[in-house]
Amino acid sequence: MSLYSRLRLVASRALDYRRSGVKTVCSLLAAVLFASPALAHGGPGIASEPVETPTWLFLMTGGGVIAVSFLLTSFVTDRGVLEAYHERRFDLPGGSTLRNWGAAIGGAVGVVGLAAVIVVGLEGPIAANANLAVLLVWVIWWAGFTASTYLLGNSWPALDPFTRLGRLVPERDLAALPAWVGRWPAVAGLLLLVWLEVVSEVASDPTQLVAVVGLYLVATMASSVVLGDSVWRRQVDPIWSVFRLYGKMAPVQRTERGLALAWPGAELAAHDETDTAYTTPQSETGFVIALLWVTSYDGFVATPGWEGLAGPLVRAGIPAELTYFGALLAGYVLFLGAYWWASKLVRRVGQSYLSTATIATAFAPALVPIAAGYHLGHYLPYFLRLAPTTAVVATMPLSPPLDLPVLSLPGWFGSVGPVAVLLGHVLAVWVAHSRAFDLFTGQLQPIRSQYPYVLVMVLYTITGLWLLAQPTIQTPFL
Amino acid sequence: MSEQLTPDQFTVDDSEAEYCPYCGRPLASEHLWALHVGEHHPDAMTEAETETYEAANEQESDDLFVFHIKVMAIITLVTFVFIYTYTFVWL
Repeated sequence: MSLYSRLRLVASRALDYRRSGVKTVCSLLAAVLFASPALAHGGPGIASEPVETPTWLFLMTGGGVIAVSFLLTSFVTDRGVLEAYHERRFDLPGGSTLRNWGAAIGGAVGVVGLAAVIVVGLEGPIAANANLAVLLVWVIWWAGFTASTYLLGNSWPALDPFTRLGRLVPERDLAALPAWVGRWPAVAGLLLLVWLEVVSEVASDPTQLVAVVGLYLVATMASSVVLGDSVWRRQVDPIWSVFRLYGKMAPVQRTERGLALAWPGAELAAHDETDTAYTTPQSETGFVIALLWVTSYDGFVATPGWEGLAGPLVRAGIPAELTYFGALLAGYVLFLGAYWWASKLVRRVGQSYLSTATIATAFAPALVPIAAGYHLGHYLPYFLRLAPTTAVVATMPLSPPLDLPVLSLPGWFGSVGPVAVLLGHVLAVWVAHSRAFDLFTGQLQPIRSQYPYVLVMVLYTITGLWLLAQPTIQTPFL
Repeated sequence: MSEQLTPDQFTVDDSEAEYCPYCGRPLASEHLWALHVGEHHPDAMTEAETETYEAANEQESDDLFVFHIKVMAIITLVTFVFIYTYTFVWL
């Protein structure tokens, strides 16, 4: 059963998205959007009024926010301002010292954490919410640490125990990947990992979790021998690529001198010279779209809509796992196709001779904040609820107390999901806007070029908010 | 701030293209061509090109002003649509 559906089941009990959450967000959006005095005076009281906001209006508001934020960005046409947004860096004092210490301490923490996951996963209690291995991987690492990579900065290179252990084996460079392969292996790896997470019990069964972690370690070591450490990391390892992308939107960035502060999302628009040898425009775009799609897929397979869609196929005798895999691939192709089609339109609407591949690659990183917004919306409540549990279990990992504390979140927390999704989209619109002024000429061409992308983003926001507003079920047929 | 674009990043699929004399970038109209030369090669351009750039730039500012008026109109419209919808739904 999907981790996401499991946490949504818990969350739906604690916070009622449809009633209080949705309504609070709508009031909030209405207040922000229109700043009407009556609403402003209402303050938090609005949410307590006994009115319901229908889902269609909630979705329309979300789409409206994205469209309006695009219209508002059109007032920023000064290339000097946009350049300052991209290139301003404030060096952090002691950045290089921090990096040196971080690498040493982070490396130790990573290896100890990996050892703890393997030992506790095999020897610890069977119950998922009392097993430190499950809590470490899903709560601390996948929910908490991932959020830190886009909110603060990517510290995975310092922490990564897999690569560190992979370096212990000698590199032989037995094989080389052809140039066209680029980052496609990482795309396949990411899709495969998400499929495994949904169809297996890896999100709740400690033994299966250890098996997957162990396989990952073996794959890392084997690839280090055959392909070499840097090829594995940059082209094959999906986890490395996910954190690398998320880290690009973070305010703390690595520089040659140490660490520097940047505006959120600024680095997404920058051209990464060091990586061009390892990637191709098509595969780079492919990875961003894969990251975006898997966040939606995880939520989609826990909706009644999916049950209705997959039911006839499963009853016709197709194995459920295969149906899930087919949906994963079909959805990915659909997302990639929609993005490529929009990029083609950008070329036409923007009256540009830039090739579709150039345009698609240039604007794909702007989609990263959307994926981050979904991640934060889904996992922040989950992380906060189970963080105290993890702390208590960590003190006695092999025989945790029976009564485990869970943080109960206030009702307004239900609005965190929709707000995070919207903020992600707004940042995406802004990053794409600033990128367009880099690529196109004059002031109107960059603005007009964005129409197709804005249309796609409005549709995408509506889909994402619709997924949040859906009742959550167990992933069916598994 | 703009990165160096190489010829293989362009596909010219019609015969309308105007090429920049300094970097060879294909542009879809004379207007864009004039703007491009002024934005990217201000030190190299000739006096005639300076004049066309200034005219194109002025045209662009005027067009942008009209565009922004339209944007304001749309934002106002969207605002009212939402205010009315919320009023009908909530009251």
